[in-house]
Amino acid sequence: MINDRKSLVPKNLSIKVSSLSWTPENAERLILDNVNLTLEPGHFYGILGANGSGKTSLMRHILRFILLQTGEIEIGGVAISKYSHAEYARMVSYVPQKTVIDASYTAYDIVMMGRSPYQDRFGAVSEQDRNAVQNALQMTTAISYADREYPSLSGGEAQCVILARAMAQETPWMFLDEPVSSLDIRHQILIMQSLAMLNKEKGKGIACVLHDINLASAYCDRVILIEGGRVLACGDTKDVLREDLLEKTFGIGFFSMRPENREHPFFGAETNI
Amino acid sequence: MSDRRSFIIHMGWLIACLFAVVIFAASIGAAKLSMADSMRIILSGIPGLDHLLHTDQISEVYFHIVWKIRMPRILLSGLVGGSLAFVGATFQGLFRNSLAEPHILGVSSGAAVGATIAMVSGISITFLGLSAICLSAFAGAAITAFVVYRLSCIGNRLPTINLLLTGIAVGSFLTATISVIMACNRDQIEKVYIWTLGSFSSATMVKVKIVLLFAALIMTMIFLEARKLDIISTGDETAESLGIHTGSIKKRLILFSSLLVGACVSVSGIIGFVGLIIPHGMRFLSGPRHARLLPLCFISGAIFMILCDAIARTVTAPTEIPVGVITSVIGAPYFIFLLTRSKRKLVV
Repeated sequence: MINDRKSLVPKNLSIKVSSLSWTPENAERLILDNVNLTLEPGHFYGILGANGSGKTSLMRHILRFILLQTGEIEIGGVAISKYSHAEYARMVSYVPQKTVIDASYTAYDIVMMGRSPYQDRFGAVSEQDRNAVQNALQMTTAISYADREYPSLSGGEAQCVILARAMAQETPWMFLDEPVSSLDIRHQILIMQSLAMLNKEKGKGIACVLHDINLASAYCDRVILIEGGRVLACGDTKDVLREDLLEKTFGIGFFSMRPENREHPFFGAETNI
Repeated sequence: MSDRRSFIIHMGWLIACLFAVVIFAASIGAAKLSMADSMRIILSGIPGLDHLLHTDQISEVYFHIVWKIRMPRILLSGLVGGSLAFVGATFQGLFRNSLAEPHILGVSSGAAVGATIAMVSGISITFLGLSAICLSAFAGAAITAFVVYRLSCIGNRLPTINLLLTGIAVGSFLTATISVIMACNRDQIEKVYIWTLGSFSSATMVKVKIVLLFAALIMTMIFLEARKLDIISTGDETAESLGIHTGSIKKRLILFSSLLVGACVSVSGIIGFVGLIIPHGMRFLSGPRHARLLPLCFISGAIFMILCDAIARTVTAPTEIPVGVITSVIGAPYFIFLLTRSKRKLVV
């Protein structure tokens, strides 16, 4: 474990994945096949790939939900296994696709849980904790229903609360696994905008698994394409989001167009496979 | 009203209720005693108060009845009820399952097998004042907790669903084992059967002290993890991503809770429903936070069990109804009431 507190915030917080391969228990197929990748801090990465391509598995390895079989993952030059749980939670936060909580915690309680890595055993709340929670609630607009119980919130509202919790964690990196897949278009935009704002204003590194290529095109400055457990391409959005690469990734044809007065190209899939 | 203030108020009136229930339970039984005399006798046990209470008109016999006969039973039932409710709330948070209760991991069945073996084999050793039945029941509970735990682990992880299913499977196996033992020892059937239904009729101060020791140590340890338990109750991966080592906390809490349940079952037999209904009821009062829920569960579990035991020993006196029967008769309808209430809440 790292005991020196200063070492918790290495100057270069890049995430380096080297030769990562993974076969799940009782499976024969490699889900991740020699993945090599560097995520640089301060960027908004969109991770795209077909179902079963390994994008979520890659993220779960970085989040330490899956133990490494082969390969290495480092943050700031230190292997991720070397960090204690609390230390890691001060560097990396996580937003799943959906979070079911039956207990009747209020939205505010849930967001305050994001401060857990900074609190002692008894959870004494500091002024800094309160401010972080307040800011996160405001940025995600969840402030308007902060007193409501979590189980009574709609899917979109609940996801805003979970995003606010990750924001309150004040980590240099945030990972999101299809955070907007089950949400209406308004909440999709609301959440993606909050993420873009976090990235631009606070320089937070964000990596987000997405299914919507156009959301990646509009909000991410970097894109990683994953196909068959390997990284097919990783780089600036404009260089990676190309019809030919997308076709290789998803196995179907794509077309793109750039409407007038729009900064980003719009992608569509060919309807005949 | 702030959360903290409402918690203090709830705690205050529950402690007052507990005290009233203890006085009431100490006053009823074959020898009739007024509530006032019962209170005087109990308070006279507090050093410094004895000469203020004018207890000289009360016969020594009543002192003997209250302190030697009724109080061990009241204290033991209170401790066991409080502990089972406390562990119930812990398990429900830990497993994110509102049906989890102290007996679900098969620990009680393990204790029952231990007790059954001791009864049919007629071993009569005692250790620290505990009978062979108690010791054997405790050993059965501890071994079962360990076996269920080992069988549910996958590598370093302890998936909740594995734990619950293993607990149910091992519990069923052990219940079947009891039936086999009973079938082979028909002359002991009644004794074993009555034991499995739960009773405090053999309460002694030694048992009270032992359960108190377990309860104080284990409940303090669990209470210190209350904040982490809050976060674990929102999901294992969530808790991991918030810096909580869920695996190690789960293992600790499950093993220690099981030991406490083992200690309770070994002195009282199997008493169901307390660990299920009390936490459900208390959540309506205190909300889901464990730092508040756990103490409220302990006090109200104690109140509930003392009342149930008072009913068990007086309603059909001089014979007794097993207290496990009373908790089920009261607990099951109350649980259904809670379920319909929460269902209505969900629909709205």
